Amino acid sequence: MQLLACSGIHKRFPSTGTQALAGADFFLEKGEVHALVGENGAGKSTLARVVCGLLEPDAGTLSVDGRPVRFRSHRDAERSGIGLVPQHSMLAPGLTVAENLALGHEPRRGLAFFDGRRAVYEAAMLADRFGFSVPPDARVSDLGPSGRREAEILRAVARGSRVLVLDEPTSILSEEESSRLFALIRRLKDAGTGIVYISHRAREILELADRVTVLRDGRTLATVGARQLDECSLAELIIPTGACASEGGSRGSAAEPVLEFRGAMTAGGAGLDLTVRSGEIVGVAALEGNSLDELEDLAAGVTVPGARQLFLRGRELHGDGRDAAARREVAYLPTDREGRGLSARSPARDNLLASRLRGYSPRAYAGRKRPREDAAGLAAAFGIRGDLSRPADALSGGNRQRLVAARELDGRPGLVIAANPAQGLDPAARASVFRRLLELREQGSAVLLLSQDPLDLAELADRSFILYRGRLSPIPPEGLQEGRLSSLLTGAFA
Amino acid sequence: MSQFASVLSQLFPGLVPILAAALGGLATEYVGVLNIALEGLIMAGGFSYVAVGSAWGPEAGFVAALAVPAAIAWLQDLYARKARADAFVVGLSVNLLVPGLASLLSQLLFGTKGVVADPSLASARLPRLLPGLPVLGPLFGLQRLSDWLALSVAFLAAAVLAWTPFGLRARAAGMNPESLELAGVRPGRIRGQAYLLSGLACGASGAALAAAIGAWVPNLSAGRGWIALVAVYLGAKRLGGTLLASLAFALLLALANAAQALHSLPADLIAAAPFAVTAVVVVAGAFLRRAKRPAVPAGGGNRAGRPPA
Repeated sequence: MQLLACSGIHKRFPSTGTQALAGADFFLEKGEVHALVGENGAGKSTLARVVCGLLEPDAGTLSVDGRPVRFRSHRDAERSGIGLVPQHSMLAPGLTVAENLALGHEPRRGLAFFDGRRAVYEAAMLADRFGFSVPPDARVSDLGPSGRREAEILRAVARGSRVLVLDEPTSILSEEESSRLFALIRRLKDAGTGIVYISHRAREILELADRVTVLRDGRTLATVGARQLDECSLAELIIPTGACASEGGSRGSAAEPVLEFRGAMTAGGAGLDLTVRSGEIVGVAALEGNSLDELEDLAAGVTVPGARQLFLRGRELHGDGRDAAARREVAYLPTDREGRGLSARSPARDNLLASRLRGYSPRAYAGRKRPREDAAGLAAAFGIRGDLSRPADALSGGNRQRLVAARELDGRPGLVIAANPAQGLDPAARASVFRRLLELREQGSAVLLLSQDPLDLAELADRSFILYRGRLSPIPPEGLQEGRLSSLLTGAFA
Repeated sequence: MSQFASVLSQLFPGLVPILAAALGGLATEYVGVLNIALEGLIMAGGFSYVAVGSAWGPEAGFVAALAVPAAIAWLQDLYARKARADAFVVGLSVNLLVPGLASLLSQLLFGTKGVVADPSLASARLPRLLPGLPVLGPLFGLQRLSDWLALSVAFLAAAVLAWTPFGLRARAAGMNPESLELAGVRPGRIRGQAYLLSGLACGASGAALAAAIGAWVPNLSAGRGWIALVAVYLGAKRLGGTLLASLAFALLLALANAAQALHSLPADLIAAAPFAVTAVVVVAGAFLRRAKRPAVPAGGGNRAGRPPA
């Protein structure tokens, strides 16, 4: 007997005219972790909301334990034992954890008064049962992301969940917090809870899930046993690219994601999804006017991304001062080398060493000996000729280009954003920059390569995408051969 | 000393209408909406008290004074939600509609658009309570039954907001309506109930004003709805703050009244004092709040430098 069965679910949002679900089927057994995967906009969250009674489907049937049910509100779903941990916080920030948990089921005292003390007691008991450390009398707005997520989970399991729906639960959690969550999921599973797990992260899905259901364009594409899958075939199910067969072992896909765009918006239109992992070079090519510069600005922190659209090592980037610490490991080789990459009136040497100032004590820098030697070394390595003590302005154009590249590709950046790296370089300098990028990849840097020249991608990238009219499409390796470049860039592949 | 006692005795009747209306404003602030219509709802309460009371007696009048504004407020919110209209604009229209409607009904029922006086509706003063006490004696002594009734309604509203599950849900609705959806509660219903409570409290305020003089006069509320709104904001949209702010305004009004008897200052100036003070306090409050906000960190798109390998 299936614990939960959804069949032929349709849901259209009249206000936007989108058909979010067009015949989705989903079946959940007792005691299984069932992952729900798909691209952005495939209908995962909509299906989750339907299952939880937050949305009424236009058509289709839901049944719990074989009995058909109809949920008019989440309370109906709750009565069937279905709890939700939503993707975005659905807690009242100014209330305490206990008050949030009590909401809708408030313990009463006397005539009709809310028994706040009892609510705290109940919340404390619940937190204790799950080994959570979130203090019940803390205001939600005072909690960190993991505290909030704990509160969210406690609320979902408070009414004795038989089905727990988790919508991207790890998106705001650190590695350690995530593994604690996984332990909890396994415990619930062993106790017979059916778990619907929505995630973009292949590793988590393979670690946790028993079965995987793939949604595409609001329809169920397939349900497969998780043991038949590896990261590559899972990614292939979500977005078919043909990458598995052709790309030997899909280098680096097991590595840690460093930079992630999750539905990031550009003026071009649709949300962009892109993950750059450590030890790989991900290339994006586009013709002018296809918002490649917008992608660059977002990645570099020049423009402000939308909420939860851009992540660096799993931590959200906000596009302001909060990112400063996280961005220390980011090297950025901008397209606009002169405007963004140089302080034209400062000495070339200061420009060259700007990224490693932290490595000097004030005395060492003022003493000039060590910086002078270091700068000379860098300049030699990248073939920069000119008087380094004079303003950067005074260098020739090609040397200024090399200076920016030398500075940014120096050291051990965790992430390199290389925008049109070959721009303005002669073949020799181009070769040394490319060699350095490959070296950094070997050392474990994640490299995001943005270029208007597909040949750059062909030389460097492990995975390639084309940005066309605001959409990213993967390019199979043979697509980068010279004869097909023009059709590529005008969108024949997109 | 008798000056002081007179101020104290005027404090209570001045406080009740403002406090009741302010709690009405707080009720919708809890669910995250500004009910701009407090002024109109007070008038609806006052007129209902006189119109119904003159036909069926003051008790029926008081009930009508609660029910009619409550119904208006509830419909006002229903309309705003169902028609997806701006709650603020709908509230403004209530403020414009109620005086016009009162004037029309007054013409139809009493043949006048002006003052409708009915001495039987003037609420009786209760016997002196706590006659011996120095402050509480004059404060609570010889007050009208209608004021006590309106105060009980205000207290009820405060208790509902502070101590009941409804109050908790209302606050949740104001902070994040989705938190209620996940609790299986429809946020719209909570909002409707908050408006209902708002109308009820404003109605009590209007009834107290009309019963104090035993008459309906056009512009009965005389700006108390606006003062009440300011009291809510000065009180930082919290219960305790709103109570204190209402008390402060009532005290100012009572002082102004007492000063009028002195003839040493122009009466107009004194009558304007509470409003002038309102303006000053609001501006000062805004500045204080701005000063408290932490400075926005400077844009940090560029990295500060990374350690060399």
